[in-house]
Amino acid sequence: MEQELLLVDGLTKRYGSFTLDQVSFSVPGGSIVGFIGENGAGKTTTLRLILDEIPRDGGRVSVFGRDNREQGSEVREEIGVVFDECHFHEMFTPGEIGKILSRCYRCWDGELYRSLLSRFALPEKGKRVKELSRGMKMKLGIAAALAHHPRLLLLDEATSGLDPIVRDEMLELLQEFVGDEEHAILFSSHITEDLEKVADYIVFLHKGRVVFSEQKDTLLYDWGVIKCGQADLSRIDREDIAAVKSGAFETRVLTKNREAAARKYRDLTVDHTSLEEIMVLYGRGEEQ
Amino acid sequence: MKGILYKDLLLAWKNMKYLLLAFAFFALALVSQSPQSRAMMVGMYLCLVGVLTPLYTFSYDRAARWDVYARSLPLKRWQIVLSKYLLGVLFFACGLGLGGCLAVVVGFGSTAAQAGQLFASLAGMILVGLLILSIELPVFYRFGPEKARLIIILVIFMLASLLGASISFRETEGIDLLLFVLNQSPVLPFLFAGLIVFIGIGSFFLSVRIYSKRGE
Repeated sequence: MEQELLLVDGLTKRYGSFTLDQVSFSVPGGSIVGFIGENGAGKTTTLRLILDEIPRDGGRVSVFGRDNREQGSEVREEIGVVFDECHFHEMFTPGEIGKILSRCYRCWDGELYRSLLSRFALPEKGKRVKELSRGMKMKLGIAAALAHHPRLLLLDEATSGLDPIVRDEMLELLQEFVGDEEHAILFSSHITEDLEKVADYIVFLHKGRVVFSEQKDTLLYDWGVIKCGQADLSRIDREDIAAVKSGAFETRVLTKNREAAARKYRDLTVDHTSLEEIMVLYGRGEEQ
Repeated sequence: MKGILYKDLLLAWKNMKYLLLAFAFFALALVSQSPQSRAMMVGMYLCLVGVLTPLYTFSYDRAARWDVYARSLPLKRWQIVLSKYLLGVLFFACGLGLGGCLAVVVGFGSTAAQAGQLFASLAGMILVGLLILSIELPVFYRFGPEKARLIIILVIFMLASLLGASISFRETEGIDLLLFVLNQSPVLPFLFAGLIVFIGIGSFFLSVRIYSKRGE
């Protein structure tokens, strides 16, 4: 049975005009959970709440079965975080960053850190953070996040802005990380292509609310898109429509049972869908 | 907490060339001074470094948005705040130590009372430094480095003007003025020190409160 390393239950945070509303999902051991949503959907707020960086207004977060507020620093000892940008001071070298972090984490593994730097072709000395490319900085962030043997990895847009080769290299490393049931990743990303490659589950956040939390394969193989004209829309049963987006030339209907829809609406085109299309249909279309 | 304190010390070390350059200008101004004044000024310089170092580490932290990362580390809020206070105190301790050593050195050939007075003056100056640090750190946590820098400059300017006005009023040197105030009663220096430590502790709790409320 899969053990949940992270459990988010009814998480709520209110900011003036924005509310993160009753967000619930879980991250089982040995899995990569893709966390998707438009800009401002509340993904980063959720990650910050998981890390107890900001106080929550409701709900609970349990990491490794422990409350993230009551045992915040103990919980963070076993979490690795990679942000969308490098937060290390520009004048430091990777070696110096290792020295700083070795004094922050009880389980810091200097040998592992050096081997990761070497794997990523990052020099320990001689090059400062400001001299590193964006890809190198993200690799440095990954090395720093992994070198204290975390059980849970939180990635906040960690692959955005990277070239396909570096991204592929990073995805490979992430898959190695979740090789057993003891480790898991919550991967917030706009690059749905990456998530289609490595994620096991997808949590979709839209305007502060979880729209769905599903297995990725269910989304890609069971869900589908009915392509039709505006006039055909009235023929499609409401129960078959998850979301709909009408364009000037085509109306696209998201359905949760592609095969059934193909059998039912033989004269319409029913295709496989993608995470990006699902995001767009829910984000820009009308949710049913 | 050792890690973030080490990070700030590393930042200070990397800026040492600027500190040394400033010290060279400072030393030039001391050529015509008496040995006691030189020791005093060196101590004062290190106190100034103690006041300024946490300030510029704040600026570097802001530039890197380090705080976002620091909050993800296995640290409690108060530990992150305490590291900045400890950084200032560490430089003050160095100032007292180095100034004290110099006081002993220049004390040779002068009376023991003079050397003692010099050391007492240094301790007084460090307490003033601690007072400034206690004011500046909550201001920095509340307003951020840019606005806070202006406020701190204003506070230091006001304190310096007050001290300058007092000195010209008594027509004495700064060392004598501090000693004059503290010598009014044997308990006064201890009261003064106690008050500043009390303000320092209050300042720390205020900073923790401000820092913890960030992002709410």
